[in-house]
Amino acid sequence: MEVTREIDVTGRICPGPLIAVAKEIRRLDAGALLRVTGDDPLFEETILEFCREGNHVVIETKREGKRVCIVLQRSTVS
Amino acid sequence: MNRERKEHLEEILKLREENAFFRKTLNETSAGQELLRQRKEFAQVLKVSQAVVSELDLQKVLNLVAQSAREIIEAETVVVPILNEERDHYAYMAAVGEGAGEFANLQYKIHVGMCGWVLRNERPLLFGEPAEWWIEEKTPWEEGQQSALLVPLSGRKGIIGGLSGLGKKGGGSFTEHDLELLTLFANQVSIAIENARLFQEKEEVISDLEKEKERLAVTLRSIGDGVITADMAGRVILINKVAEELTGWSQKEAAGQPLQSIFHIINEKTRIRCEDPVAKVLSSGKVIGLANHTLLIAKDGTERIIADSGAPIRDRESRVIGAVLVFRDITEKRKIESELLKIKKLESLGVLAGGIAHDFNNILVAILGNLSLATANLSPEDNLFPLLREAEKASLRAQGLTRQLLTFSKGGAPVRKLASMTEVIRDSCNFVLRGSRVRCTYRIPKDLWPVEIDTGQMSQVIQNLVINAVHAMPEGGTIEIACANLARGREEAPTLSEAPYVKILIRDRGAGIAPELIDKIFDPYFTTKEEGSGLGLTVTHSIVTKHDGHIAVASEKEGGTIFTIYLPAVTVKVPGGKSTPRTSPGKGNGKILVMDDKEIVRTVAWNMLTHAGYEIVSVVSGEEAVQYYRKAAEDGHPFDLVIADLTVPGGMGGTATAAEIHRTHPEAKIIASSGYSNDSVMADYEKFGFCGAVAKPYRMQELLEVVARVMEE
Repeated sequence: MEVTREIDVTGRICPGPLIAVAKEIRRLDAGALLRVTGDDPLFEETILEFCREGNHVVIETKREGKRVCIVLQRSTVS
Repeated sequence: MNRERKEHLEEILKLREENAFFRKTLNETSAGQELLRQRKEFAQVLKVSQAVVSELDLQKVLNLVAQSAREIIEAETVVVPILNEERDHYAYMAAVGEGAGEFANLQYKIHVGMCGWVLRNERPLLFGEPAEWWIEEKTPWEEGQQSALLVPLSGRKGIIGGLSGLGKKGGGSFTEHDLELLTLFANQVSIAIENARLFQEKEEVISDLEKEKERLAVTLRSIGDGVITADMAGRVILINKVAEELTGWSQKEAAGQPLQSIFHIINEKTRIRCEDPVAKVLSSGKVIGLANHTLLIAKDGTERIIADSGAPIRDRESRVIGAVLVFRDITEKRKIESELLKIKKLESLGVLAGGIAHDFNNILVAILGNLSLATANLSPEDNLFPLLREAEKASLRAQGLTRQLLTFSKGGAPVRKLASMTEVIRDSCNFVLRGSRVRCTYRIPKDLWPVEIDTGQMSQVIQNLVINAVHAMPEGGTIEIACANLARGREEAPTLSEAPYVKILIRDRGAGIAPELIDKIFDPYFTTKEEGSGLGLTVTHSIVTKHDGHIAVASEKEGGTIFTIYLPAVTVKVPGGKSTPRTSPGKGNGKILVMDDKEIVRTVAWNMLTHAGYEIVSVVSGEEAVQYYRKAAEDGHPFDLVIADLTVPGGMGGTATAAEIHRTHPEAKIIASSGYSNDSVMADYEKFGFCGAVAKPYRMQELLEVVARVMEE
């Protein structure tokens, strides 16, 4: 499935990445994919928790050194 | 200048010189400069902390804290996460600096993000160069990344939130010194935030309480019953709008007064003051009800019958802290109940009276009929003639009496037709006042609404009232009669509906009715006149009530009496009346079938009709009448007319008989006859298939007139 949007929050500190992801996901249609990359030390667990709470699906998590890349799918439940 | 003063001045100068030296030394060394900078920073922290402490508005405090913290640690952004009451979420309650708007209304679980870590662990966190990185298995800060500095805000009962600096102005990292300053600042302002929060909570509670109080006050004022609350000393605390109206005391006047001053209640019958209900409630601690017949006397002396109850007011610990009285004006209700009782009483008497009148009428048929026959067979010069005439007059008075009895009996249902009260009033008054020393004045609007009435019965009502007025003014005088249209009856009398009514007022200037008698005037056989029957006003009341109307009386001793009648109005035009032409009875010719269960009636009818020349056959029941009628028709000698009694106990009455005869012989001419002269069939006989009606007792002339008319048709 093709990623609809992609954002890079590398260098931004918590809760900046979370705010950016929340804003982007609101612009997506249900079921669309978002790729987000960040290096905040709590980036991964914060985004995963955000997905759990919002019923968004985490498709993929990839770590490259300090950078973490997460692909998530917007919930189909409104 | 004395020596001591000189020495003192020298000492000051010396100290100043030393101070200047130290300042110079501090300014010239890096350690000294650092010390001065720190001193300046701490002074700044203390200054802003004092400003924060003096503020009580929570949002203002948080904004000020965020702004000051940003200046102190030179952060790009400072946010203030505050824990919720359940301590499982935090929300950014204030944010200043770059991207501050993005934080509005954001709320996260306590285990999310760096803020969550600080709030959970109640420890500061520096994500920057020199600091030890406390979060295990996480990467430390690197040049180029945003630095973060977070400290907890601790209140009296633990952590309440935090201060979070995001990004050092101009890049780079926050320092240990920033951490010290922010921690110092956090310690100073935590209590201020907590106080402001408590203050806000208190304000919210006060606001809620005030709203609740307002809501309760509005509810209390809107309640249809009077409500008074009193304290333990029996003094009034609150009095609602209805209670204000009923007692005549306003809340302002009543507050603080002993209850007895404003709630003056007496026994309606004995007029002895009633026990203070609040004192009773407070001493017993129980709910009490007021005794019947309690009169509340308002400030202006107005008396009202009330029903009420009192109950203790208890606090959370169930201690009695006062009493509440709830009461209502039942004066109108009592009037209605009394009115209904009167109507019921009259109804049951009516049933009895109706039965007696009916039987009595049958006897009168024999008396009157035979007297008519006797006089018809005598010469007016005969000595017996005036005696028989007197006996006939007496019988007619007896007939009038039975008709009055029937009017308020069950059998006296009005047969209503659309009519104008103007004509009824004027005709009735002219009739009664003929030859009298009393005259009438009328105030009747031309556009008086018509009414649906039994004009005969309503004439009787007007006549009865005018006769009473005439009797009340033996020396002569004027009766005032006024009529008016009432758009809504309920506005004048509680027993009336909201519909439009015609109001008729009849006033005399006579001696008036004594107050103790006024409740009895509509009772049967109650009279103050030697020659009175005691039925006039009873019948009047009965007729008006049966017309769905209402009659009221107001009287003052020596001030005259006013009777007011309300009749349901009809908002259509009154059609012109139609009268039945009178037919003179001539010599009779024809065959008549008389059906009546009373032998005396059959005999008299036989005598009268035979005397007039008719051929008569009489039968005792409806069944027999049908049988005779059909047999005669089959034999080729049909009856020309049937006179049928309407009421035959245990058998077929006149109406059913007529229907049965008409089933096979629709051309049959049948006359209804009844002792219940007010029977609806009698008034509207055509509707029931009759060609005429004759009320018992009848004189020969009356019977023959009806028979002749129907025969001619």
